[in-house]
Amino acid sequence: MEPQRQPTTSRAGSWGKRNTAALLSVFSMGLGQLYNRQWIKGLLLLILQFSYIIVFRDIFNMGLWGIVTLGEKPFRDDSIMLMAEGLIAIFLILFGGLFYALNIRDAYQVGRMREEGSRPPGIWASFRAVTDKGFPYLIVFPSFLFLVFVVIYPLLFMMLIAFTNYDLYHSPPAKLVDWVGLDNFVALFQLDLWRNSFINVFSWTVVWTLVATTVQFALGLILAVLINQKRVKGKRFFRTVLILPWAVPPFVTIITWSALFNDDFGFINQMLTTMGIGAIPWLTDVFWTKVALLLIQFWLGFPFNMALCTGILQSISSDMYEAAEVDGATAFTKFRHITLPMVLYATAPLLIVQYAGNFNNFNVIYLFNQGGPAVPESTAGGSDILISWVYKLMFDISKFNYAAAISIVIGLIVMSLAAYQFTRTRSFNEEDMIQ
Amino acid sequence: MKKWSQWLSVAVVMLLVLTACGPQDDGTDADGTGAEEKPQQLVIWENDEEIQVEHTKKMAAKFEEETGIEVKVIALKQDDQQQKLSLDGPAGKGPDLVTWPHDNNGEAVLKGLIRPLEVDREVTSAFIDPAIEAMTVEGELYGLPRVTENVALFYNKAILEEAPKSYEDLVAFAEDYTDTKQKQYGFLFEGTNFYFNYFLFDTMGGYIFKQGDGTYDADDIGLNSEGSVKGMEKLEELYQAKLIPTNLNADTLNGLFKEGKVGAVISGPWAVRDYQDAGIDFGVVPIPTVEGKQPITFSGVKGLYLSAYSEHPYWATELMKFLTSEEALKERYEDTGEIPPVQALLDDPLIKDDAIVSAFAEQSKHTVPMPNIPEMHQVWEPMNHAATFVAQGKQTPQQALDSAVKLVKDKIKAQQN
Repeated sequence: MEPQRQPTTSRAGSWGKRNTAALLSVFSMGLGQLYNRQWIKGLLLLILQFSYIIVFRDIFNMGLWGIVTLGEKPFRDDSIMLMAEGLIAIFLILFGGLFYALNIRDAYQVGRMREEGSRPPGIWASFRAVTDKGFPYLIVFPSFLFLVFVVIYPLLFMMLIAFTNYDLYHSPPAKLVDWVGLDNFVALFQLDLWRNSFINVFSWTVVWTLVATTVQFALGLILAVLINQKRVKGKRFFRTVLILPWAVPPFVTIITWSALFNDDFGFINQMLTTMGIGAIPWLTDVFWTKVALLLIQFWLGFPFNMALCTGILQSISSDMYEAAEVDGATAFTKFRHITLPMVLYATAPLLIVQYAGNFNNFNVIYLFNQGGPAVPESTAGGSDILISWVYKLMFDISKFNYAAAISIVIGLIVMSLAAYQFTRTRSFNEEDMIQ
Repeated sequence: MKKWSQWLSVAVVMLLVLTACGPQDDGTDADGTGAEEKPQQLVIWENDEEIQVEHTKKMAAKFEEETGIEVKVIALKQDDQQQKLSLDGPAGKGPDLVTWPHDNNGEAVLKGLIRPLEVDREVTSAFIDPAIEAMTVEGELYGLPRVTENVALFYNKAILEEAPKSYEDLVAFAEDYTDTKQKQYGFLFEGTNFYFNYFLFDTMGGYIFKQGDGTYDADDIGLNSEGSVKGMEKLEELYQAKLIPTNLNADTLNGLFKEGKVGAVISGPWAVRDYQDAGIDFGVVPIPTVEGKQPITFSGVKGLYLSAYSEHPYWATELMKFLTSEEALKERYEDTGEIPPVQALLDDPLIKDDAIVSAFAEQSKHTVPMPNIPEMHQVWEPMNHAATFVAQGKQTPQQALDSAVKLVKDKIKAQQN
């Protein structure tokens, strides 16, 4: 800042029109624009600001008070409703703040234009500038608004519940819900019952995700390679038959498998008994339930991968294989050094999606045996994965706060898994792959 | 400078809004006191079974004739009503009367969704005791019962010529007749389901929660008491003798009975039509005596409750009384086949002369309502698992029940902590 005040032909760095305009806009939307002699724009902004305040006054009032206190009087204040209202208020304030910031920036920029001696743009020119320069933003804005309220809003709501004591014994209207900070997360790792359940469920979830997804992909790849051999006749027939598991709705499939695996009356045990192997306790023994679940998931998962790999195999040029044969490569070497890298390179993103999908594969686990069989002294069943355990916490003991806390843990794990995998695939990309 | 001023402006707005905050208390209370004006309209949520909705609409028309109050009947699945009431109530869109099975009552009272009734003794004394007990939470009456439901013994007349006199006879017959290779069984029930096997525990002197006058003490759990262990031993005998397959579920049981391969099963009124359609000639009797004692089974009672959000508690209660009166419930039985928990109706020729319904009605006098406190939700699964472990021979009755009780207590603690 220079001490002496300069006339309007000031240089950058001194306090000129731009700062006056910006400061006026900080006090109220539109003031800076009026100072800049943009009368219509200034007036519109002023009106916008006052109508915004008048229309949303009640929501701000109730919502902000509500989300801070979560209510003070049972029966009058419904904590969960207040939390929802509070979130909406915060969203509205953020949108308002964004507009406010834009108005300050606009006043500042127009002020600078005036300092530089050019005339401020009229209302029509301003409008044109928005539609031209800001066109992409204008088009994206409605869907962005939709996204905020349909995706981000429920997610934030769920995350907020993880920091409250919202459960059966703290339910509106008779009781108020309170903020409890990190207590739920601490309790999850402190109380014996919860810690043991969590460790058991978590370790099985990891094993389930890795084994089920890897094997379903490997099976699909092997079958695709086999069918793709030149010598195989009736390729189309084999492909059609092997695609069938994918064509039947999984819901129906799983329930059918559940009946087939029944210990006493299931077809599988009857077959094993006639073969002289003896019945296997598919539904009543934890180990065998896990085996059955994996087998079902292989069966459900391989057709998609087979179709995927078939497509990629057909796009690998035969030149490479011929060149490899000239060099005396065996079938295995060709597979190991040509087919596998090419396929993995192309399918990596889809593979990640499948890992994440199986990590949260509620359908198979719940429909096959409701996460059972029972394990003495645990809140979860023997084959429960995190997501089905959360479901049980919600519906069996109404621990909404714990369910939300574990959901956050699940979210973090899936996100870090995906992030790690994506960086791995990037390292793939840096290898010199032939397009 | 720019960034800073933006943040400042947001903070200023926040502060301004936060200082003058909160709801305006206008001093009105949601208490229905004093004389209440006749409302234009009352709203009732009825379970979404068509015949039940039709019946209630018919009754609503009669009520309107008598009082001039229009009654709007909205069909909504009974298991969803509590959830929906907690959302619609605060929004002012809720009904005056709701309905659901009685075991949700403790939870609804805890959440403050329903309010105690003010009705005379003469209204409540018409109902059988277990039904009123089911409507009572912490010694307060919260609803009036409409329907009672319990299990009884079905026997296939082609296999058993006459109904077994006692449980012991039934087991003896089963030991004789059962041939697992042929998939034919003398006597089946879902032994690993606490709802069905409870009668054994009760008869041998076991209990779930210590009961006071219209209250349950959730801290005193008797599921591993001496009596309960004896009951579990009775169950174990059935599995050790291979009379019941270890993981028998409802589908398998119904399938076998409909194929005519089972002498007798324990099931509820919901199975009657299914068995008749399969062409089985069967009879129904109350559960036969165990060691000379008439067994007590669980009952499920469906009642009407007064929403805490109702603005017309007096007239809503009048409507509730009207819908649960003897005439109304008699008509309901004719319309829907649901057994009324009214002493006079259970002895009415209409029910007495129906061979099948009368057996359920007779058994309904020997029932105990499933405890209606929220802690009961934690009992089912551990008890089903305990029975499963015993059936599989993995644990002795004492071990299984001890670990079940420990788990129930853990879960209750987890639920409450």
